[in-house]
Amino acid sequence: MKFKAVMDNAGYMREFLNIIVTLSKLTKECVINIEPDKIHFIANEESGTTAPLVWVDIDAKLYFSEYNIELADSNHSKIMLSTSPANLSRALSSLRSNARHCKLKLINLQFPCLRVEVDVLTQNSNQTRQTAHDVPVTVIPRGEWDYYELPQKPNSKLVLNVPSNRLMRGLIDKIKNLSPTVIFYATSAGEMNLVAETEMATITTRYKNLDIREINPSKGEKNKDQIEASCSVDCKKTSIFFSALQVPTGELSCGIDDDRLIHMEVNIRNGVAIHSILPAVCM
Amino acid sequence: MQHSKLLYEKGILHNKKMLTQSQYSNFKFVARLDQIKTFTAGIKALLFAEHGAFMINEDGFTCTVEQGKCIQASLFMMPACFSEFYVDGVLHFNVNMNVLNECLSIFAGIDCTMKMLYKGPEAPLILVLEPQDECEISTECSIKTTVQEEPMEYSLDDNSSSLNVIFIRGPDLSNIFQEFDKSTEELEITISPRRPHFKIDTLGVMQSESSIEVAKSSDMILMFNCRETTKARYKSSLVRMTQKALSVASKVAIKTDLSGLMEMHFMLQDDSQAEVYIQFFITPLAEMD
Repeated sequence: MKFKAVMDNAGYMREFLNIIVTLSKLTKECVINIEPDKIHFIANEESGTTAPLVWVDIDAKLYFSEYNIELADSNHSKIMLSTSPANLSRALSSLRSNARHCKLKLINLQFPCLRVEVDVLTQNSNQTRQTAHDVPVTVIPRGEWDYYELPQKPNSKLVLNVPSNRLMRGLIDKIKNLSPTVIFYATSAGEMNLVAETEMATITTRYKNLDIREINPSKGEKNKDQIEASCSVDCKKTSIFFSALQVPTGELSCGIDDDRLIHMEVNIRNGVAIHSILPAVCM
Repeated sequence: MQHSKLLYEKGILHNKKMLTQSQYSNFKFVARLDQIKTFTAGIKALLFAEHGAFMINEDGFTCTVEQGKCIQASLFMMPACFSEFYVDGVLHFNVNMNVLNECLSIFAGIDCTMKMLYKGPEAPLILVLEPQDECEISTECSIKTTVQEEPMEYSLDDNSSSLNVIFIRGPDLSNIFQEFDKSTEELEITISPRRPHFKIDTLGVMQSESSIEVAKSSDMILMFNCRETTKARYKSSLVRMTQKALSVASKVAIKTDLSGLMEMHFMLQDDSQAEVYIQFFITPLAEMD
């Protein structure tokens, strides 16, 4: 079992660091799925905490100029590790300053580690200095893979693209102080309402003219002019997701499944996306 | 309301009392602000109490909060501050200040236009907020109103011979207040026609003392009108409640007389040149000797 990957694009390196920092704000321990063409990170805190389920898809060819993976045997389709994203983000933190390239390598000291080697250009001279961090990881054995299955992207009834999530983040943050839950209600006409209702106040925020990305109407609704979907979710959980996001986000897509879940997808670029599932709560 | 009614029909909203229909003519109060920055700053300065008493008539808009019988603060806005202002008679109602503040800052610092609507007793106060650079987003807040007794009326006698009035530049007074010892319990404010014209003494728990004197010729004093010496003590925790108002004020007026009741006016800078101010009344501590 071997793994080695090299990044040398400054923009991608910074993005990669931002993704890891995002994860470190959501969970203490995250699962890394290394597949022949993709890397996935899964943050799923144990039940009882309010952090939402978040996972990240990264197209390996895009980020890594060199990407080698050698599997243990034909029974293994991927390498599954678990590590602390906080430690990993600290090891990667020199990517912020003028890094030339960054190498990730799975090694075995006395225990398995992910070695992070970063070449940084010194500011005053043209010399580079190299930093190496060994981040301890746990290899998840084949028998336990089922527990850490990659979440499936749900087929939401109505998926809308929401521009500028800057507003959404502040909005959820304020609503959180007034109401424990928030209802997302959207129609196929491109309208989405965020509704919070308490004894003291009723607050509705309306987004108009949103692009519809997908419609999957239920059987009974196929002939209707307008498809609607609504779901009530925990405000705190939603707020944690938005405030954890450390990536510049151009596009947020919001999938609503009636009274079941809301699926948020932040597309950082083609092939790199952060997903989150917010389960419905009863009022 | 524009969208709440539809949401009620769909079963998303349940509380019918919080909805009002959109017939414009039925409203007792309609006002529109092109930017809410000043208004929000004013409301934030009054956050020390739970309920705010709104009083609206032809002369403008007032929101008053009090804490015990020790301190009272009001935000005043003239009709000229609003781009649209309509009121039918005199309206009184109470609103939860925290809820109002959260609603006003719902777009997190982005300046919005706001429309306020109110239909009369038992109807909610409705705010419609629209960010200035985003026309596709709007928020409607409907806030429960209650009817409670009207706030106390404090006033200083304008004709009293002992009425002292001084005007100070806001940022300078703010600096003075910030230099006070944080553990100070009492402040003594002296205004006198002779030196020291304006003096603030602080008295701390450990008998630590400090004093600040400002001469009437100082640049920070814009006007000094004093015939008799007045001296009174105030709880510093009360005076500190003016801090938020002070931090946004361009000019501060301090008025007091022999009774010791202190009236402070904080003028807020508004782009529209219209008058927005916050008024505080702070009662003095009883003489102990």
